Amino acid sequence: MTHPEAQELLAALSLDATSSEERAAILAHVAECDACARELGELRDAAHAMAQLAPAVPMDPARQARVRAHLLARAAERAESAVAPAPKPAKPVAIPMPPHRLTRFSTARLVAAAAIVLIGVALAVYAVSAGQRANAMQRDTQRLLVAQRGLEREIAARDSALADRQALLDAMTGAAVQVIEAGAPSARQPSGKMFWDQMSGQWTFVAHNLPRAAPNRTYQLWLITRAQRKISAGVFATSASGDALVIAHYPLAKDSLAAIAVIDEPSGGSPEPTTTPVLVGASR
Amino acid sequence: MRTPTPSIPARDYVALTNAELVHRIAGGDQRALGALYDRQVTLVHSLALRLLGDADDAEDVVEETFWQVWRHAARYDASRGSVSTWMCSIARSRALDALRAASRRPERIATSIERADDSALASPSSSPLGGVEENEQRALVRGAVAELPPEQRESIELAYFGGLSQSEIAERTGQPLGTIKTRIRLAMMKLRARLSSLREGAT
Repeated sequence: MTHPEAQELLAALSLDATSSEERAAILAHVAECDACARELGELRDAAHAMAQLAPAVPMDPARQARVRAHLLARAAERAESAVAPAPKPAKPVAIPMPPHRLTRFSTARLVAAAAIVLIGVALAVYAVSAGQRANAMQRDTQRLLVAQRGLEREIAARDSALADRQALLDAMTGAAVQVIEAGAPSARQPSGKMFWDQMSGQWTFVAHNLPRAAPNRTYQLWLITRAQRKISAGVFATSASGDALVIAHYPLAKDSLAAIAVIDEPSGGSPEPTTTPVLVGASR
Repeated sequence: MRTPTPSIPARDYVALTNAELVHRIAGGDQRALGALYDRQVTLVHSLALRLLGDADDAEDVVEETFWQVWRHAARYDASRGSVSTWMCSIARSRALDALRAASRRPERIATSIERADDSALASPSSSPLGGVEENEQRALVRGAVAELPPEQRESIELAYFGGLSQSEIAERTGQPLGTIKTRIRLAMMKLRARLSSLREGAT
């Protein structure tokens, strides 16, 4: 396609209104012609400015939040699989928030990765020099391989533990987290704190000083909505020192929570609360 | 492979241009994606809804558009148009694909054009997109399009909102193909000239 022919059709191309043959021919010319490339860019800006002719209709807030959360979750998932450990942990820029998830814990991983590389190098060097000592080498190689596998397993286990801790931190420190405190006026002063990540729908509940549940009894955590719907967030036992950590996932609309409660229930939990709460916390 | 980009304080994202946000997104900065979403979601949604006429379909297009931005941010080339242009182009092409897939095009085009006549140009102040700047942009674009001769306006609207090719527009309007080509070329030249000020401030 000649330059004048392309010029004639750039406007139509900016609206994707050419035939596919024309399109291919113009794009081939544009790839070689800076003037046409620039003009096409400007025409595209003009064409897509027409999007502003569409009546401005903001998305329904619930939809908008849902799409945002879903999008960011997809992005986080993909980033984790796509990003290699950074050579150095990037310094967070003066914010009282957890540093960027992708750059976290890279030191530990780097040290471990370096150890694996060193073992690999040691194996290679060993192999060269051990020609005459085949038996000894085989034994030692075997040992090193076992050590390497052990180290790899340890890294995997540590990664998984760190991922859990990261998820916990995120759920307690995220921008969309509401904290609901629950207390009781008894002597031992049991107390609880709920971290509700409204974005991800994760509920993280931490309790202290809870008396041990009686035999055949258990604690059950409840979310109570403004419409008086009672949603069980699971049953839990306390540690010897009366501490507990409960993590639950339940999507709930932002303003619909009235309170949380911990209630003493028969083992296995109840479909409905049956006794007076041990801890209650009102949502703000 | 992405190189991790450290986050910056939330308030600082507000000060970044769209192009800077896209640059950060290319570096894997999820907060930048959130910031661009908050800033552009109404524009993308309005376009998708206008093309598809259905909130569920529009929602899919919105998510898919931002997902493409996340995946292909590194490919964004500012010399080929603004970030808004890039995003509208993704959203429009997804929406037109969806229309074609559902074979609902003929009915939708008719409603699409009617809506353009009764709402888009007649009510320049309806439902603000967000900021004063956006409103000014909208007013400028609407003014520029309103100044076009009606037959030119019709041609580019059939192309942009109806997804019709020049030949299809000729067939639909009963005009010779050459006439349609001329109308589209003249209309786009005028729009480009009138909107050059937008381009200078474009990011």
